Amino acid sequence: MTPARLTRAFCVAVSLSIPFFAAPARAADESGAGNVISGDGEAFSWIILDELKPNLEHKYHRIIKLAGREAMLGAGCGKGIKKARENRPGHETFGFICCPLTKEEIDKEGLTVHPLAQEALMILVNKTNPVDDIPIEKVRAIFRGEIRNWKEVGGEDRPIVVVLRPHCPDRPGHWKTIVPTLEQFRQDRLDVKSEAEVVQRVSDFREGIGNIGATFIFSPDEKVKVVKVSGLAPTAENLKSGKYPFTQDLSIVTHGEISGDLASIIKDVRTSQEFRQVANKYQLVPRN
Amino acid sequence: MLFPRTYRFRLVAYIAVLLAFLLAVLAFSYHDSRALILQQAENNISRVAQQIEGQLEYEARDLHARVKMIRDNVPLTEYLFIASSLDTDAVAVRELYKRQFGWLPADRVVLLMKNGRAMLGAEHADVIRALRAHHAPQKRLEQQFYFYGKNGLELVSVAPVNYRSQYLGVVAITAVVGDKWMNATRQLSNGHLIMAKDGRIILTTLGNKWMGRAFAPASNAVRADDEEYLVRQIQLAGADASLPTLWFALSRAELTQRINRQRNQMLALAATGGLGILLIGFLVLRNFSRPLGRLVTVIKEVSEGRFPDFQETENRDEIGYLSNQFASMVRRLRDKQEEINKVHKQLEQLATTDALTGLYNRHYLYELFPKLYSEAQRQGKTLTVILSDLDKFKQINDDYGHQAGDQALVHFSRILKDCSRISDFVFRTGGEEFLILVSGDIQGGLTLAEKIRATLEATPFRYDDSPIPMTASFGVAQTETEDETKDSRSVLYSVSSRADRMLYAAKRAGRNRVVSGDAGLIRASRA
Repeated sequence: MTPARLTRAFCVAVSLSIPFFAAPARAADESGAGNVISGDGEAFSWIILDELKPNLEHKYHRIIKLAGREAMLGAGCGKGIKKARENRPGHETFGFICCPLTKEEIDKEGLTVHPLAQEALMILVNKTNPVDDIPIEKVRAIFRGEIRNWKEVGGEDRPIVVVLRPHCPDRPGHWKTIVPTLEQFRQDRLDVKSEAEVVQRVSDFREGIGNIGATFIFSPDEKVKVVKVSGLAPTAENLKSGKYPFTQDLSIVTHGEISGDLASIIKDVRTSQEFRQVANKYQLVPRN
Repeated sequence: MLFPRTYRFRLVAYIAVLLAFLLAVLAFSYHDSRALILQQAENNISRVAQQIEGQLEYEARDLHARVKMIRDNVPLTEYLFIASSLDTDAVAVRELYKRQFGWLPADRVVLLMKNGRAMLGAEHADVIRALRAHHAPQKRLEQQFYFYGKNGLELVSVAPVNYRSQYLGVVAITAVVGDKWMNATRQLSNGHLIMAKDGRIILTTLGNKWMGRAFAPASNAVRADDEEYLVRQIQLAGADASLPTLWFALSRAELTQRINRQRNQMLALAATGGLGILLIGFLVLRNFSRPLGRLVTVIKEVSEGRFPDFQETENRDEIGYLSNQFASMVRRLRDKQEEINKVHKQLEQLATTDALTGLYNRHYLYELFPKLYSEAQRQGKTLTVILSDLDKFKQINDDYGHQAGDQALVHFSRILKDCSRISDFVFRTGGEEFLILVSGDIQGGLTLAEKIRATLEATPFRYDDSPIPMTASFGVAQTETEDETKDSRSVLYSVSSRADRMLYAAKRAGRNRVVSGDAGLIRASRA
């Protein structure tokens, strides 16, 4: 066999073997970590994205893994930012936050905030509490500790137990729409680490009052109810009109350069019809 | 000899000794264990009582660990702080406790605030009273104590609850030392428990008939009806004198029953062991002693010169191999013996007979005569000697050759044997000389000699189909009375000499005749 024929045979063999090596590599890529986009952070993340996920995964042929359900037990904006910072080629991540970040923090961390929606903070009381509506200033007075008995807001002669989840104390928004600083909050209160604990404490104490985001999903046996604030329910309409005062901003946050798939997914989340249906379901006000 | 020195006897003796030893050991151990059990039971009661005290201490530590677990629960302390400082409804505390510690084993739980309010367990007024009596809030100490409440004797474990270094109150949980506990402990201790108060039994695992009975142990024992129990008090740490006392009890009847059970076990063991030894003994006798006995019998017979028919066995063990080898050896020995006997007989024949004629030789005459003479003397008989010599035998040799002479001798020998009685002995004593030893007096000898002479004369010897006439001369003599003083060899010499003289006389008288002499008288049968 001449050298020319040997070279030709080698080329044919290589070209024939390419499909056998390439196909498994692609299959591995599709099922491996490189194909996964992970998201973590505030509680609302899984509630919104969990409903959008099937369509997004189908459209982009990517696996979206969300740790949102666990966030109900305590993960928050810090966890969302941490997750976003893990983003790198082959390991695509994004986070969820419920606070508008400061410009300093955005610049310092190299973050990009993609606003999603405005969410109402619901005021919760125990189901046995006869109070259904509390004026705005009285809500604030209760949280400040100026009002300490339910009879002062038309309820029974019972002391008021304030439950607070004092998350993201250095960022604006959220509970700060009720009372601007922690120092101004009533000191003899029950502090908790998750929205689920807020609900639990208000369920336990007949005298309890607390606040949680509108995307929280109640279980049937929880003994809490949402009260109106100055006659206003925490609806999208009242949020949009600016009448309902207690709100927080929900956003997706990313770090550095993001892949085309992730950018498209975020864009779809923000603008898709499905997202608007979810927002409508939880009385959210989309930012786009 | 008192005992037979046999292997079988020794084996039986060993088995008997082994059996006796087994029985002795069992009897000794039964006797020893009975005393030991009784003694140990006495010691055991104190030991078990101490064990139960140890168990109570362990349960107390466990109870205290549980109360500290409640005390250290952060949400609960927060709830308590809020509920006590704001004076809210206690339902929140109850809900949280149920959620967090609903699984925790405790008979009763009380959360008593420093202001005296019971956030949990308000219905347990007796426990709260006991807490107020025993616990000093200002000391804020963890503690444990027993008290007698509506549920009976209870151990209470108390821990102070603080929130941010602020003393809120105490949490207390209790464990009842009651029926359930006593029954569980009874199972472990293999005895019974009695709780007594003011000299009466208020709780016991002994049964209802003991309830309410007076309890006054004398010498660490109590008795009722036919039952007697050994008892020891179980000390309750931190219990004051007003509380009930707890006792561990062990039934004497149960103890006896246990000893009897042990005795029965030992008897069963002895019976099984004894049967086992007997079986082994039987098998040993059957498999070793019997074939060995058979072997010994055969060896004895062999040593006595007999070679019995010793069949080989089909057993392929060591003794079977030995038996078969021995049987083979006996068989070979028997064959050798038969061969030796045959050779011996041949040698004997060669030593006592004449090779040509087959008649006895002179050597045998010397050997036989003393026996016959002695026998004749015992019977008061005499022996007669007939000496015979062929007439002119040299002439036959000269005329026909020595071969013819030999055949003539054979011919005469045959006539001698044919004419003799079975009791007569015929000897060839020289070339053509013969001697016949007749048991009886001379008359018989004369008759026999004449018969031989006549037969020879009438029966010529045939050589090369030619008849050759032959005659012989005979001298006959008998043993005499005076011979009795002589030894047998001298007698033979004497009688032979006389017969020889008679033979010489017969030759001189013309041959072919019988001559005998009695007391010097010479008589011829043919003259």
